[in-house]
Amino acid sequence: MSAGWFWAIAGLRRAVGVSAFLALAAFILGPLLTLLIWAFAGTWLFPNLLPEFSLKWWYYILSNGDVTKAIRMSLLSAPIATVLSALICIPAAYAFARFEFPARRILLLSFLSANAFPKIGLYISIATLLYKLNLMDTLTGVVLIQLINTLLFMIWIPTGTFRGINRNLEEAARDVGAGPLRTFFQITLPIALPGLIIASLFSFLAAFDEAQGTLIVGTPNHITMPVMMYTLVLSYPQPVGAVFSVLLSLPSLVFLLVAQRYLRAGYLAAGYSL
Amino acid sequence: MARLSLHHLSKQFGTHAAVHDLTLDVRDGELMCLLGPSGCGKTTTLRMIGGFAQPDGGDIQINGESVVSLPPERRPTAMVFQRYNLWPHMTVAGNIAFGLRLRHLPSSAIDAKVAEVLTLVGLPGAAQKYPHQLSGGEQQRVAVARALVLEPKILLLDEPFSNLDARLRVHMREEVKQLQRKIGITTVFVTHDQEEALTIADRIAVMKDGVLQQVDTPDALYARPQTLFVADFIGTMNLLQARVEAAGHALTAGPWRLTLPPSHRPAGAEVTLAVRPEDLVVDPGGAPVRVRRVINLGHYLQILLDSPETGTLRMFTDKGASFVEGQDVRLAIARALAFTGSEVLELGGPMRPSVAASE
Amino acid sequence: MTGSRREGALGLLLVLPPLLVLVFLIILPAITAVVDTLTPPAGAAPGPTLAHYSQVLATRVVRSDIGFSIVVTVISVAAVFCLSYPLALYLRFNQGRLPGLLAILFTIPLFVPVVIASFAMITFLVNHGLVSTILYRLGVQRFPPLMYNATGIVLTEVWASLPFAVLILGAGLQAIDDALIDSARDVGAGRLRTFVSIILPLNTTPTMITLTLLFISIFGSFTIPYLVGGNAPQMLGVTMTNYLTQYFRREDAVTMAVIAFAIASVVGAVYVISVSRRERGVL
Repeated sequence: MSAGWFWAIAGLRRAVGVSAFLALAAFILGPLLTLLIWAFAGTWLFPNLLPEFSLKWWYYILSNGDVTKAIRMSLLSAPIATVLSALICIPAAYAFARFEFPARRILLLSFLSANAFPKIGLYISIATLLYKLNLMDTLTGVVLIQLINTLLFMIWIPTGTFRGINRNLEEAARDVGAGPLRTFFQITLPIALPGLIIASLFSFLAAFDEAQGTLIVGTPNHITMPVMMYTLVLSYPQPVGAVFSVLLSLPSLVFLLVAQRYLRAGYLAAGYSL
Repeated sequence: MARLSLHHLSKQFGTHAAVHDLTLDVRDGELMCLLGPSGCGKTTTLRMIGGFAQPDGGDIQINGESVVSLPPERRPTAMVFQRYNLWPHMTVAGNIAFGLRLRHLPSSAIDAKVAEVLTLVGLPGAAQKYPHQLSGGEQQRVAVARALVLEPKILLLDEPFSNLDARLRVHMREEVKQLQRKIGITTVFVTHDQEEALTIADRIAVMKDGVLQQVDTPDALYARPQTLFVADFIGTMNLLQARVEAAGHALTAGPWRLTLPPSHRPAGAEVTLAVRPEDLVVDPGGAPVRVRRVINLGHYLQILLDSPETGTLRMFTDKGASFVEGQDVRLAIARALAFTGSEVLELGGPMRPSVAASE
Repeated sequence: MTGSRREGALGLLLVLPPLLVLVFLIILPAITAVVDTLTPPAGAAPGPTLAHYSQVLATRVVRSDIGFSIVVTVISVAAVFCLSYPLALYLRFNQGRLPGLLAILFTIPLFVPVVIASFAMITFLVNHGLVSTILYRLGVQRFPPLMYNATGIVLTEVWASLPFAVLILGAGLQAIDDALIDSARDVGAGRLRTFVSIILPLNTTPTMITLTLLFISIFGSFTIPYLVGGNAPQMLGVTMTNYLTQYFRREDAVTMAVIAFAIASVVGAVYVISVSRRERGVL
């Protein structure tokens, strides 16, 4: 006797769907909601469902010198890492998408495979190298660690983007007199822009949120926001970490909104379906 | 004004010869079609002319000067691709003006040229639109406009209408033909559609498996194909296996026996006979063939006939003729081409006008 | 130089910068690390040795941490898989408002940094956190601790990995043409039978990719177990980092890293094979 009858009853099916949705929503949003409430809490005593609200922890955080230093370090290192990553990876992505050269497939896969190893193991080895190069506790060291995290996004997404642009569009530019460089900058790049922006967003977030490697390499003078979170979470009252979390999520939120806009850009679809 | 000549052009992809020893002359102001089935090398040839593929051997000359070492941006050719011509992030005017801007023309001159060429292709109001706002046919017209605005010596078209629906395709190719005649630009047009080639070409180069089969006017290709492939590919053709009699005076094809004139004595014994459908005529002295089906195509009839030795034959005849399914009729062959493998013999009278004129 | 050889050289040239980063910042350090761990300690006989490995593996704490890591990872991967597959299936075969909301919902963790996610989970699940408050209000006063132990780690890893799993499985399901499923239903197969005989086999490669990538990333993770886990046993990532930053036993930390490499590369090999098989069609 199959359970088919169960699914056949639309009302029951809908009830299961809705309760599953609510359960998932509770699981995913619950923790975030709790954190958000904590960020505006003065004190929250068990077993009250809500705390006494206060903004005092915000003043505490924003006036803390260490915190502002960490914010500044994050806002300095992550953009540098992202821009550097874009500069070296986007031409490479174009080569992967358009050119034939020996070992192309292997090289492309190797970027993917580098992600196949436990990050923390990598960081310990890299830390040894940076120690020998005197790059420990330097901005350069932090940027390099963040750079590694962006490689995957900056190679794979742009490669797919460039591959999706029909060659005829570039050949047409050559045909009317544009050389290869001009064609790349005036034709290929603008059409590829939405994909490249998405890649940059994900790369920035990966660089900005990087904590494990920066913990090892940036201590004690080049701490970024995520690394600071470790200490805040472990040694301070919960509202402190919560406030900091809200601050730390702001770039993600901003980029979420920007990404939405680019995913809807008019010529994104048109360029690939003309 | 320009002449294009291809000398012993060849291109290999791995071990596969896409184009083999192609020699072809395109005359000044002529519309030459490269025609053939998929994989025959016509697009590869076109791309080599445009500079998008490098030949492995041979030369390409425009007005006597070799262009083979020039990159696409320096060749006096302009290409219209099958799809993905227009840059989606620019307006129609931007697309057309792009090449003009590269040549550092003043913007007033550029605007004037853009307007002029858009009028020429019948889209005077489209300048500020984006490609995705245009229909498929309009996009291809803009692509043609963009190619022409640079006043190239040679215009190259790679099956530009095969993505459009049938009615539009017929309309567009007529427009292109008129445009080409008016401007007088030397044009190479690639297509796999023999009807399209027959309609617009001044001359057609038929290709198969990378090899040039025959270059001729549409009329000549239809009336005097030089290879079996061309005979079968152009128009409709009945192909019959024939045997030459021992003495060599006549050959037998199915129920027919055709006398061979003294000047025409084929070498071997096996010959393929090619008979146009309009060259099968009712004749009381002819061979009996059974009518299998009568297809009424409006202004002419297509008759499918069976004879045990030849298989299905196709015949075109006037709409007034009376044929009944199952009926036995007596038919004669008014004209045929005998392909011996080394030569083509024309047997019978001059070409009868085809009743099945293209629609 | 012929055109194609010039193109080949240009291609390699353009690929060189990120490749150099990859080689010098990832591959070379990794190789150096492995070589280091095979080098005998000062004063001992020259020649490669496994002394470091035997020493590290002799420590009971390390062994139990390795075992703990594997168990926690396997449980987490299984949990994510069991949660994400039905979700991906539901989204594949349903349209409308609820699926639309669900699609937005499951991508949210993607945009939350792991550090924040861990902390959020702590406030949510900790004793006297929101969950325990609600349960208390509902009359449930005693229940097992959900935080600062393996349970906390599993729940947090599941939370963070969900979007990734649903996206990859979903992409694979999307590639299965409706016609294939319709014809199965047409000849009489029920939902379950269609899933087992048609969908599951056709979605094998994305499934393999999901499982292996999940294993590797969870096995080697640091932040989540560091913040959310207990004091003992610990996940290998935490153990390694502690050896490095707290006990200053770099050699032992590196040795553990290589051991983690080795375990991950077995799974990694499966992953690379699956991906290259898939990419062969696209590349």
